[in-house]
Amino acid sequence: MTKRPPGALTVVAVDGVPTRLRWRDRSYLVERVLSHWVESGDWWQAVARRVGTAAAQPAPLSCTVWRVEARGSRGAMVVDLAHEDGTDTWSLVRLAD
Amino acid sequence: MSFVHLHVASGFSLRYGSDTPQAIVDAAVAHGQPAVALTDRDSMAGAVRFLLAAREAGIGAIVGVDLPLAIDGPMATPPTPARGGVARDPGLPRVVALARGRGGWTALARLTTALHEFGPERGLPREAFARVQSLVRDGGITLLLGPQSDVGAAVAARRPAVASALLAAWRATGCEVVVELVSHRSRDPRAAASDIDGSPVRGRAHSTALAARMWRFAVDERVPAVLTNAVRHVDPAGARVVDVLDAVRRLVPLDARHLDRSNAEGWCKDDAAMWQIATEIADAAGGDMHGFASDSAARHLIDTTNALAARCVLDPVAHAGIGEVHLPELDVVMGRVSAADLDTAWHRPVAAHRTPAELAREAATADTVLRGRCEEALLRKGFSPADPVVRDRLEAELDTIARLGFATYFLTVGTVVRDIRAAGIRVAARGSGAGSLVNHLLDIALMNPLEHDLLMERFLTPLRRALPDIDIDVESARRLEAYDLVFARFGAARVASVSMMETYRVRHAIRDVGAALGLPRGEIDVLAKAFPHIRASSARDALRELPELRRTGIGRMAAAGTLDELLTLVEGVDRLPRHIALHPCGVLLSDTTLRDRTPIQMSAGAFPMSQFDKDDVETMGLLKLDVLGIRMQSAMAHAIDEVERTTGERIDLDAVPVDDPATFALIQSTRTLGCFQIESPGQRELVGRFAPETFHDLIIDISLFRPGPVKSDMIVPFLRARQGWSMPVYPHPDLRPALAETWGVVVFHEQVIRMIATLGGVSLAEADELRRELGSDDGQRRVRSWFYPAALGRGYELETVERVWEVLRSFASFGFCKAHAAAFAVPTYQSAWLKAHHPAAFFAGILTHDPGMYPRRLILDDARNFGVPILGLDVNHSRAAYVVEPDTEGVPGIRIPLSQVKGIDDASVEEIIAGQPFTGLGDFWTRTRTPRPVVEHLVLAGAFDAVHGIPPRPRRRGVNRRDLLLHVADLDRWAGRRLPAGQLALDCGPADVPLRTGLPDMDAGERVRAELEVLGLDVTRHVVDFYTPLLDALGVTRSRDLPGTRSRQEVLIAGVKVATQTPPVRSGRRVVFLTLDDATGPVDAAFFEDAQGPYAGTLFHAWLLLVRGTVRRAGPRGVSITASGCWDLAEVRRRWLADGVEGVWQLLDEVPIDEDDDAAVQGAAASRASRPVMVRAGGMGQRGTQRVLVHPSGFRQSPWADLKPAGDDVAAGAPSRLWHASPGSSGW
Repeated sequence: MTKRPPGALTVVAVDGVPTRLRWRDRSYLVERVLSHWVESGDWWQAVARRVGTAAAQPAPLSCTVWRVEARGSRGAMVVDLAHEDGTDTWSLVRLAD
Repeated sequence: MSFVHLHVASGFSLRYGSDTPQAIVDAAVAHGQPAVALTDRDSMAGAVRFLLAAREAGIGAIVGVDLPLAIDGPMATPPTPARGGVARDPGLPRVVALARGRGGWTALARLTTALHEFGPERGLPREAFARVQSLVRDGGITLLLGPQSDVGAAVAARRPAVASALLAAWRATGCEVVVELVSHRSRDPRAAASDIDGSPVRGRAHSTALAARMWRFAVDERVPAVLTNAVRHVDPAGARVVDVLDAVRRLVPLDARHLDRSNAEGWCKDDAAMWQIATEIADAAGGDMHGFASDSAARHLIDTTNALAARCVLDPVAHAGIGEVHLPELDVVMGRVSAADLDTAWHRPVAAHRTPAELAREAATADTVLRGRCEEALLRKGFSPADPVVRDRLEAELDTIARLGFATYFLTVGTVVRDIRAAGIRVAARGSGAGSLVNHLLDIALMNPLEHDLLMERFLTPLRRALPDIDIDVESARRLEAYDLVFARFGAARVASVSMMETYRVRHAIRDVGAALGLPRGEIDVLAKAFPHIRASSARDALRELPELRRTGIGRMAAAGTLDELLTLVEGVDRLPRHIALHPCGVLLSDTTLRDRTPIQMSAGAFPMSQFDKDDVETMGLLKLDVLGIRMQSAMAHAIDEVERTTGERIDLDAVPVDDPATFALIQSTRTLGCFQIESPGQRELVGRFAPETFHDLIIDISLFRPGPVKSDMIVPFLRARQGWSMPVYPHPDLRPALAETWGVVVFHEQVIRMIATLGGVSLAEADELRRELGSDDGQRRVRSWFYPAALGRGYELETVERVWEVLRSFASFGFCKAHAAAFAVPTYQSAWLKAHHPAAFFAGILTHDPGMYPRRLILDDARNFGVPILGLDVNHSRAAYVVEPDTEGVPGIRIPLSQVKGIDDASVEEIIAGQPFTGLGDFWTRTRTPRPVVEHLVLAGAFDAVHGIPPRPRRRGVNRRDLLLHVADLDRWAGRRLPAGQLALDCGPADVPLRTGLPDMDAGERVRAELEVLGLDVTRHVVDFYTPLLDALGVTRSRDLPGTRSRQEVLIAGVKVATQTPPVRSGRRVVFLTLDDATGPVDAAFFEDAQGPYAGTLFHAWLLLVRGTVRRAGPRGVSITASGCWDLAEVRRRWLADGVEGVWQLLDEVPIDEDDDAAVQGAAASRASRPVMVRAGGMGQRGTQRVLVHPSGFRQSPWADLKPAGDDVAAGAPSRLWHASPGSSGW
């Protein structure tokens, strides 16, 4: 997997569907959901790392990925937003400029 | 609306599915679904229990198999080789074949058989489906062509013409064909080759988009489409386990590239979730499917799925044939028809069932034949046919057998036993079958059941329609020969062996999970080895409770919670099937319909093997014969052969009178090492107290030494009454006939049956049904509510009824079948008879076949104590096995065999024996190809001593073993060996004879060390001899002096560890029983839990031990030690040499630190359930709690009883195989 684009992210979702996001201190409005799917997480990496140390949260099993077209002040971009099942955790996993 | 899952894998899909068939049924029930399918990969092994579970739950069961296809045609994908170049998961396209109706079950069984003939790694050709479908009427196969199939691959690759052609080919097979839609909401991998950020897309075929395309394809092709969820785990959390299984199957660490799933969606979803999926697919398909809007299209999809499900629901009886009895044809049993040449190919036409009329005719004939056989045997065996006791019993048995229609069964078993015996293989029946006179008359059971008052009802009653079990013991060394005889008699079309699912236990689970997580090998190894052989689900508890584990680094890690996630995964894998293997004894016998009812695959040893295990086979009603290989039978056969070889006398062991005084004198002396059933420390203690005088006493002795009697504390009152110290007590005079034989103490199942029959006023057959019910809690309640009114109604006092009920209840799940004990007592008696009369031959047999619990070196020591000379290894006299050979004074001794030499193989042994005699080492070197290390081992163990005149005691003059070793080196350097006949050795070669080089000879200690190293035996001297000065200095009590000790006296004992056992005992705590051998005989010591904490590690891992304890006297000969500590003798010796005796006392006073030593269990809660329940028991304010297993009868047992100890069995410095460690099933 290629490296995730870094930067702080907050997502506002309605019924699990992302509607607005703030990324690298810029705000975007989701204009269109292009597609969505469910992806497996690399839970084993976390587990293998943690053998021998006290476990925190169990690693997530899978996440729902939303591919959206988002528009901000500097124009539009297509991003993949991953939502860890059963949490409020969002991450930006892919970006097309 | 409801939804039925048609594509569900269980754990029987090896290293693929993660749940039991039961869990799948439970999930369907929880979702209110009317039916569910089990479609395991390559196997029907889970099918029978699945059918039962579904029937129990009241839902429909659908059975299919997920089958790989042979690669051909345009959609073939190449296999993916993994470690070792072997394609572990060839990644073949797959289809699911569902069975419809009886024909479907047959076709499915044959397809599965065919798959294993072609090989699951190659897959099935399409023609196989056509062949199988054409064989059956009344139903057949429905094929689900899903995203994994070749059709699915073509659709995914957007090659509609190819997909169309493939579909046509499938339709041409004659099987019903439907298209299977699956959406796990994965990304559509075919949408784009690379991602929006340029990285390659990975994904699986379970996307909604592909499902939509396949649906459109199905509509175009006018093929029904159904929806499945391609389930691998029952709930979402199971996804981690299936990830681990994917990695394990491919022998790779976990990585997204190796997962078959792309997310955690492949679980048993409920109706709403599946409805949602159907709607999403319909939306993606464009909403015009079948001309419906997407809502209606989704409904149509689910309706089609459910309609197919309804047609595929199997009736366990009518379709799968559960409970049907199919006995071999009488003509085959009688040898009138040869069975050998029947075609057994999977595509052979389906067998014609015999019509009911034919079966009835055959049954009548079988009844007549059986009666004739029995009448003839009555005369032959010296019964008086007119004796009413004999006559009534025979008529009752024949009547029951005729009513059940089992005459052919008895004739079949009789034929098998006769064939085996005719081949000269020792054979004996075991189990309740020994209670049947018919079995005795057919020569299946040796003992006369009338003589020992055995009941037929314990074995067979008209109330139980199930085929009774007859188990046959044969010589272990010739067990497969016995199998071959069965196959020869009945033909491969009617015979198959039974399989056995090996499941994950904690060690396997840790290794596989650890490897999947990519943990370092060394660490995994340490972790796995730390555990005893237990269920993975017990791992956490073991870490917490076993002192020898808790004290390790791993125990501390677990206590800190740092192994939690790993252990969770380990527990997820627990008990999953891992490998299908040949059951060690089960053979299926049927008629020619066998292969229509069970899938067959070949075992590793090339025996046809049913995929059904012994429980399945029983459920199916297939006739199963247990042919057990018993080492003791081989040992006795060897002893008989040795007697004949050396004296010319052929002993008929089965005809030896069972009242021989010498034999009982031996048994009473407790010198019973090597004797069947009565050699364990506990049994030796019991025979010492009991002093059996008759064969019947032996039957009682064997029955007493069981958890039941131990639990009910029967042994003490029994022994008191028997010794005449107290009067027998009977709950009621009416019970005297049933209980007199054991002085009022209930020992046998048969007595329970009689008690119920007497007080309740029912037949013995009914009483046995009630006895069986006592095994469960519910059953006990039912029997109780019947028993009280019944007995009271017959005029018994309430007090009597209550007292009897208490006995019955506490007897509950334990106790022993007297017929079984009688059958077992036969080899017990026979082995003791051989030991009493032919000790040398007996020891030769025992040492060769190693049947018991003790290491060979202890048996050898026992032989020495019996005055049997031990003759050392000798190239000119040693054979492949232990043989009897007179020593120089003509006393029969035992010669150590070549096969005992470390590293020697069968071929070398044969070559050496063929070349005997040799004139010396040089001659040996020239004429054999024995590898140099083995030759050196032979020299070290003294095999050339005799031929080179090296005396038993070391000397200064003449050649010695070290000279011979140098000679081997010379010979090897000059390569002057293996000369073709007639060719002369070169002059410049080594000398023909070894020369004296001046090296000192090996001293006595070195010789014994070499013997232990090479042979695993101390032949010339006992190891403990070398410690004699130390033991004398410490005042250690020897085995032979123990009878002279006082009760509660503190003693030190020492010796070589020969056995540790952790049996179930009355208190529910773990007790470790240790047997030491100190050259004067065995000494037994018990470690209770308070003594284990600090010493468990030493106890399990050291070889030579010093033990401190107090004497416990029990009966005239019974002496045992309650241990309070143990130390490695080597360490004690070091301390002695350094600091003298005072130093040793200091060492013994230092208590090893055990920080969290738990106090003993305070007593388990008296919770009662049908199965043993685990109870936590711990006193107030104690840190540690311990768990106790509580059986329904109240019997408490340590959960760690019956376990092998953790770690390698080999202590540092001690050669392997020198002691026995066991759960204690063969004794304490």
